[in-house]
Amino acid sequence: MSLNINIKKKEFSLNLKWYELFGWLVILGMFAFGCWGFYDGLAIGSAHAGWKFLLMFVIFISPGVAIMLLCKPRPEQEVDMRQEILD
Amino acid sequence: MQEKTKKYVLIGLLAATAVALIWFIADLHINALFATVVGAAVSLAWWGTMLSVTVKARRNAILVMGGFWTVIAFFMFFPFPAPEAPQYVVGEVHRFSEMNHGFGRAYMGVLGPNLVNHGYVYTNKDLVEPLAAVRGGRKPSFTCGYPLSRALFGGTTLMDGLRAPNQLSGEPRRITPYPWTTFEGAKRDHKLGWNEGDVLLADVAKKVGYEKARYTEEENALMIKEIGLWLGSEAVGICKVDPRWYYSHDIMTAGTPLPLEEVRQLTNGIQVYTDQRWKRILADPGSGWWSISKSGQAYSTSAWIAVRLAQMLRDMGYEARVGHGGIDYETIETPFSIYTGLGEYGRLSDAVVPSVGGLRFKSATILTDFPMQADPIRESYGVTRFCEHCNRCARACPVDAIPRGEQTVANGVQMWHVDKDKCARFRVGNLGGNCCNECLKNCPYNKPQNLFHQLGSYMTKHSYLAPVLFGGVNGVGLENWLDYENSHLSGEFGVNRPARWIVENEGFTNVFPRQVGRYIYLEEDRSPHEEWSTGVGAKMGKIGLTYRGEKFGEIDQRFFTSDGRPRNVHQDYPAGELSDHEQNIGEVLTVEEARRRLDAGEAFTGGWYHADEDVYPPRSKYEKGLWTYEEAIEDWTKH
Repeated sequence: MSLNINIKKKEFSLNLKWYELFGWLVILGMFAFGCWGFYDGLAIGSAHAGWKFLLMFVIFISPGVAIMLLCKPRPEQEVDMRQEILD
Repeated sequence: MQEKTKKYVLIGLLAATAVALIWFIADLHINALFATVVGAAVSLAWWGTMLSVTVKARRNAILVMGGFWTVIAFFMFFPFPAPEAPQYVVGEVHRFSEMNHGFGRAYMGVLGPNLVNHGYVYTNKDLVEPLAAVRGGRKPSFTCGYPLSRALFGGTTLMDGLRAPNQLSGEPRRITPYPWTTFEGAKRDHKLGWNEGDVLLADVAKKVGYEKARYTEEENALMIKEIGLWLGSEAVGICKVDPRWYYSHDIMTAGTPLPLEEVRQLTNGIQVYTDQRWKRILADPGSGWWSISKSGQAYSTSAWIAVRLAQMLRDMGYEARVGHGGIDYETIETPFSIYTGLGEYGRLSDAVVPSVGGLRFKSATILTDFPMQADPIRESYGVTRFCEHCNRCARACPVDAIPRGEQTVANGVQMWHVDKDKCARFRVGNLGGNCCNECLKNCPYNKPQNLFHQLGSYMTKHSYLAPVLFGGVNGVGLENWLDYENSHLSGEFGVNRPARWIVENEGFTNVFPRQVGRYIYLEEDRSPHEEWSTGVGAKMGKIGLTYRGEKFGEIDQRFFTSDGRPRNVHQDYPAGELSDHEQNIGEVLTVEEARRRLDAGEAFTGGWYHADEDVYPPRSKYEKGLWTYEEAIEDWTKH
C-alpha cells in the first residue's frame, strides 16, 4: 500500500510513497525544531547556544538525510554501469 | 572497486559506529552520541552510493529512522506523570536563628574579623565610613559599595519602616506611618470590603461566575493573586504558615527572640516574586562589581509590592506584616515558595521556582489573618529528579560550597544543603567584585519564560528521558554542551574569571562564647572551616575542571603572597590603614558568664543544632518530635 502525492504546478512535481512522506516529515520537523532553537538563542542573547542547538539537530537528522537522498533503488542497468566504472 | 571491498568498507564503518555506540552507552558522553549518529550517517551514505539498495531495504531504513526519532519524541514530550512531590521533613525540625544564616554569621563576626570589615575594601574609605552613621552604627557592607547598590538597598531600608505599624521582635526598628492611614493601631477596627459596591475584579468575577464579592476564602485568594500580579509580582503564592518557619531570633535587632504566641493569628502567607532579569544574570560575570545590584533591584521591588498589598489588607480590617529582603524578614522565605506549590528545593538548597526563572528571583512575604484558600500543593516539577542528574551550579561555584553528591539530612530536612559559611565568605568578601552570580547563571532553570524554554521545563517535569539527556551527572550533558550562559551580548566581558576573596589572618581561631547585641554565640556556632577561612586549602571550586571551554588550573600566581597564601584584605591596603577595623565585634565571655546571662534572661541564643538546654528561650512544642507540614499547620491553626 502506498500513498502517492502529486503536486503539479508549472515545473514542480512531488511523488512520495507514504513511508517517504513519513521520513521527510520527521527530518523536516527536527530541522524546524533546530531552527527554532537557533532563533531563540539569537533572540535571548545566547547565539552560541542557538548555533549549537541547530548543529545538534543537523547532526541528528544526518542519517535520515542520507537515507532519503542517497539510499535509493536504481534500475539494474544503472547499477551495472556504476559497477563497471568502479571496477 | 570490488563489490566485496565495498562491503568490507561498509562493515568497517558499521563497526566504528558500533564502537561509538558502546562508548556512548558506557559513558553517556555527548561526543560519543554525535560520533554514533555521524557514523550511522556515513555508513548509510556509503551503502546508498556504493551498494545496491532495494525498495524494501529503503522502506525499512526510513521506517527505522523515523520510528527511532518518533519513539524519542514520545519519551520527551508525552505527559508522563510528574514525580511525587518530595517529602522534605523527615525528622525533628528546629526553628532557625536569623543570627545564624550565612550573612548573619558574616556580619556578626562568627566567620572572622576580616570578613566583618569587608565593607572597607569595596570602595574609597572616605566614602563608606560615613555610612556607619546613617546605618544605625552598622559597618558598611558589600551591599552599599557604590551608588546603584546604595540606592537599591537603601530602598529596602526605606521599606522596612512600612512593613508593619507595630513592632514584633523589635522590628520594624523605626516605624514609618503609612500615608493616608485613617485608622489607629495594627488594623482598621471594622471590616471594609474591596470597594463601595463590593465589585470584584472582572477577571475574578468571570472565574467565580458572579460580580459582587461574597468574601469566600476562594474568592479572596483569587483577588489577592490578581492584585499581586497587577502590582508587579511575577507570580503570587498563598499558603498556610508552619510555625517553624518563623526565625527564632531576629538579626536586625541582634538577637531578639520571637515568641510564637505573638504571631498566632498570622496563619496565612502570601508570597510575591520579582525576577532579577534574564539579561542581567546572563551578562554578569559576578566579578564586575554590579552583581549585588541584581539582588537589590529584586528585593526592593518585591518589598514595595508587598508593602502596598499589606497596607490594603490592614485598611480592610486585617492584620498584615511584611517580610522582605535584604534581611528584613520574620520567616525563612524558601518554605513559602515550596508550600505555595510554586517551587521545589534544588541542589542549591534554595527554592527553584520554574515560573520565575528558577533561582532568579527575590521574594517578599505577607503574614496575615485575611482568610484565603491556600494553593494546592502541586505535584513535583521534577526539579529534584533533574538536579540528581545536574551539578552545573556545584561545578560553577567558586568556593565549592554546593554539594555534588547525594541529598543529606540536616535539621530534620532531607535535601541538598549548601555550605553557607563558604558561600557567605565569598559573596560578602569577593575581592573581584561584590557578591557572586555563578550558580544562578549556570542553573538550567535560569531561562527566559518564553515558549521554547517553557517546553524545556515541561520536559524536565514529565519526561524520564529529559533529565538524562540534559544533565551531566550520569547523563549526556546537553546543557553543558549548549552553554546557554555564554552571552553574545557581553562576550568575553561576561565570562567569569578566577576569584579571590577575603581570608582571615594565618592561625585565626575565633573565641566563644561571644555576645553580639542580645545574642550569645556558643562553641557550637564555630565555623567548621576556620582553617579554610585563612587560606589553607582554599582554592577555586572549578580547579581541575574544563568548563565553558576553559581549563581551570591553579589560581594565577599574582593572587598569592610570597609565602603561597591567597592574598587577603591586608595586602589590598597599605600597612596600618585597616588597623582601626581589624577587631572583631562583640564581647568575649567566659562560659560561666554566658550561662549566667542566658539564665537571667539578659541574653539569648539559639541555632537548630544546639541541644535543647542551650536554646534561650526554650523551643516550642512544634520543635519536639516529627511534625509533618500538614500536622503542624492544622495544630497551629486550631489552637
